[in-house]
Amino acid sequence: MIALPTLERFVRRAEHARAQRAGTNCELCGAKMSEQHRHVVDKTARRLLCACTACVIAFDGDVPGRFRTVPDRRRVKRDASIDATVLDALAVPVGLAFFFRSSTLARWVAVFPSVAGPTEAELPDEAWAALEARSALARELPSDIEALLVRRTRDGKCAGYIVPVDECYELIALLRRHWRGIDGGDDARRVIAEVFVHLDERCGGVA
Amino acid sequence: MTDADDVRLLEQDRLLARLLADAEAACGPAAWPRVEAVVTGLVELYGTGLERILVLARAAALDRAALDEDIAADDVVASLLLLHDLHPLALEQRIERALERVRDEVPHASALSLVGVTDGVVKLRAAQANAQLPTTHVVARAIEREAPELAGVQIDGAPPARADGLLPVERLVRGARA
Repeated sequence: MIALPTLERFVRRAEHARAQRAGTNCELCGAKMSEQHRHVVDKTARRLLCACTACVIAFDGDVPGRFRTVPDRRRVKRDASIDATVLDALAVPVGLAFFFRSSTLARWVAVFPSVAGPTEAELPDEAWAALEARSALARELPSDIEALLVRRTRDGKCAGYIVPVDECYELIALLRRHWRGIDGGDDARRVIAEVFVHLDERCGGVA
Repeated sequence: MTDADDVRLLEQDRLLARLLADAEAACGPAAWPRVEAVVTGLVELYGTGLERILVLARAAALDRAALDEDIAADDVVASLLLLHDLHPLALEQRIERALERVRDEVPHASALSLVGVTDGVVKLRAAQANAQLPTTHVVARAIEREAPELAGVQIDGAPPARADGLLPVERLVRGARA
């Protein structure tokens, strides 16, 4: 008998996936659910919860209270008003960040990727005022569940998208796995580039 | 059980590693997790298939122990079953078999007995103090043959052999052919 390290890697991954599948429960009601599920946002803790279909329906729409369902993934819009001036006002350096309005804090929250994962930041009120004055999509953005995802490349190109908030957190989790050094490194930049190409496709091609 | 089977299987595993590295470089870090998920799904499916076949074969076998021995003696089948934690012989049984082999190979060596397995390292003890012992290398080679999932072998207080699980396989195969 011999060890087969390449195959073994995948066998262990499969075991891990199986354990996770077996242990996937709705974080709201505890019901068993499939790996493919949607999320409900906990507005107070600013945390995403994996939710079963019944809970997704129960918290869908503009419901009062602590929880609200994150909209379906197909909802992606490009915000053409995002340019260097806006990102300067929002203090976004080279790279990527997302912003959402928190109903609990009654203000906008900025989230940046970092080695430690998603990092929330407080920005001056003028910055939000400038963003809302500039972007109609930002003004209309529903609190807690959708976010403005922005990107600035090294050559200074800026882009903004309205994206479900769970997708933003997933992107930051993905980046964290590829993050090297202070600015993320080439690997992280490649991930960002691919994700944004995909976003453009979903918005119906590059403008 | 032939060394040619070992070599072929090891070469296939390495080819797979090369193909995966190629695929990873070609598809980039955002698409790569999806490819890994596909491969994982396929490996899991085949593992489930192996498990069902084993259950059916053992249920239908006239002599289950003989079937288990035949399976253990086929390197390709045994290696794949081991990978999926389906090997019909328990780890302790396989270590005992390896120790018997050592006794055959090094007849003047004193008997070694199994103390236990901790963190992938087998601990062995000589039956008599100050006895003439086979070298750790010989024992490690024999145990590797039966239990490649282990990380090392320790005899009495000697430093463990085989700190990493990959290199010695080559040594084993080369050694067996030489």
